[in-house]
Amino acid sequence: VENTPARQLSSFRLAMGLLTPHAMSSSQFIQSAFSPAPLQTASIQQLWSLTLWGSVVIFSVVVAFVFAAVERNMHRPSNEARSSTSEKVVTRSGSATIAVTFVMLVSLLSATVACRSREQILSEQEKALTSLRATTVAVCEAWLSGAVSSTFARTALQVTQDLLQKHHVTLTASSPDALADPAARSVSESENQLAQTLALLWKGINEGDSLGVRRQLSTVASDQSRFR
Amino acid sequence: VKKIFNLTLGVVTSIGGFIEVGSISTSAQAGAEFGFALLWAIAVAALILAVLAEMAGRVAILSNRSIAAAVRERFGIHLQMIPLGAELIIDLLLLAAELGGAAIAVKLLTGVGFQWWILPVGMVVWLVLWMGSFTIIEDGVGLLGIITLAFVVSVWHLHPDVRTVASGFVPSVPDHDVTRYAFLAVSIVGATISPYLLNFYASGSIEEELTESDLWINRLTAFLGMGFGSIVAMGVLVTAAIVLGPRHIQVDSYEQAALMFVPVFGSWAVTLFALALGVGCLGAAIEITLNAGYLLAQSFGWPWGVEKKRRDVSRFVAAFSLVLLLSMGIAVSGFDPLRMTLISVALTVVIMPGIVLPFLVLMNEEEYVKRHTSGAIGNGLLAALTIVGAIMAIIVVPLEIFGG
Repeated sequence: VENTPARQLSSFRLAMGLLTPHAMSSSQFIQSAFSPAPLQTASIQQLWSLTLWGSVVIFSVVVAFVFAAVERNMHRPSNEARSSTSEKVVTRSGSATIAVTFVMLVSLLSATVACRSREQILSEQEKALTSLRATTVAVCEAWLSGAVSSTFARTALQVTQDLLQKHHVTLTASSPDALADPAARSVSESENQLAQTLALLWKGINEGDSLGVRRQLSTVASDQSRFR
Repeated sequence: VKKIFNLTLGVVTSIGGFIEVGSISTSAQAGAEFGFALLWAIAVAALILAVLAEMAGRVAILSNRSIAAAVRERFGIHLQMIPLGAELIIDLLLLAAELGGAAIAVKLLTGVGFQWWILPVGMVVWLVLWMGSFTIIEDGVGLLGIITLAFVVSVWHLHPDVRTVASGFVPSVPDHDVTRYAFLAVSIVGATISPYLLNFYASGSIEEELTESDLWINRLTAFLGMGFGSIVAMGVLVTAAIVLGPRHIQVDSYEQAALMFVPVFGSWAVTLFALALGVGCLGAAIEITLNAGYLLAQSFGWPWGVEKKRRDVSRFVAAFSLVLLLSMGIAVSGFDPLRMTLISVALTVVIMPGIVLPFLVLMNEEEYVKRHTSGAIGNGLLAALTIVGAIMAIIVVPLEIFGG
């Protein structure tokens, strides 16, 4: 039987399908200019997860055996418990193996969690922006109803402004061409707009201008309902 | 009757575990982002902490040795240096975070930057330890801790659906942000089971002069005390889930967290939140400072105890004063208290197996616990905790770095 590239791909898909049945559902992966190989990358990700969790299981089993050995050693008479040279070598080798496995697992997991896609970063930014808008509305509404003092309202808006600044830096610093993406640019513009509104709200609260605060608040609230 | 009042030791210990800067923020974050879905993590943490505290108290009562002293005696100073070093680093970071938390509470009321309040808060902690006896510290913090019941009162007023709340006690995988969910679950457990709590609790049992006939009080204190703390922590989570969740407010600052009280307490909201946060952090700061003194004194065989005259325990006093001073230095230098809590939580989880394994040995030796050795259930729980702790130790660092 001729081993053509098409057949190789078919075998690879079959193998991946056996390991991860959901990965083969073609409806989940749409090919586009931004994602030219969705099926293959998904398969690699599944294989990666399989390796990672396989290693976690092996590590757990090793820890369980070490625990059992320690427990057995505890019940031995003290003269037997003194370890011979060979036992010391085994202990050291065992400890070294556990340490190496531990480092490998931490590295694998770090790599897994750290590799976030641009979409994920953008989604987190949108969520954070929604949260900061909601905080702004809640603080100002509480101030208008007399539930919180001007001091607290000003401090809370200042902290919101600081958090917004941090998120904005994260977005723009994620990659040099971050703002080339229209969705990222839209989030960045919304962040700038909220920053300006926060400054006006802070000024309004400082001057006790409840009408001005209400006016600004309606802008934030309409943005919030539009983006939610 | 007097010994029944020893229950405040459990309440004070639980304040350090459940109602301090890290636990309040993680519970509020969990509630705001995942509703009631992480209630099970608080319940699991409470159970583990109660079991470990009971064991620590049992060893202390029956052998008249704290955990640090017993581990040093049983395993030698070389092995003791590892948990001692790790616990001291955690204590330093946590203490700095708690001082920062108490200072943030004052900032919520005054609007003046929190760094300005760290030195006064640190001075208050030192004066309480310098002038107070263990009973005064214990009862004072325990009584002030009642203010934290405001979180439970707010749940009562908000009338959550009991069935929906109960569903949070069954662990489930969320349909979104799994990494964040795992991060918060590990953070809740890590922020709750701090190693200093166990040594503080054991040392407190010795200061209280409990005897073998008081073992039932120890059990009651451990379980009721941690029950109190966990109910308050659940109150934080449920209030945040009901008030902040539907408004899509994530908790990234204590100003945001304070808003959870507004619908229930109106104009008292910020004051009550600040008092609860302040009392919790102050109580935890006193506990950690005292524990640092206990830990160093017990590890190196110095005389110790808050009940004794200060000149008779000069090295113990110098040790806790130095640790407090160092932590004040870290806190003043501008580190974010929340960030410091995250680092200490990660360290706590990493050393958890190292803390639990010696327990397993001590709880099976009649020299330390006489005829009250652990049964199959106790040993099984510790063994399971060691393995779960080892797994958590692997996943905590990446989760803390990227999930938080």
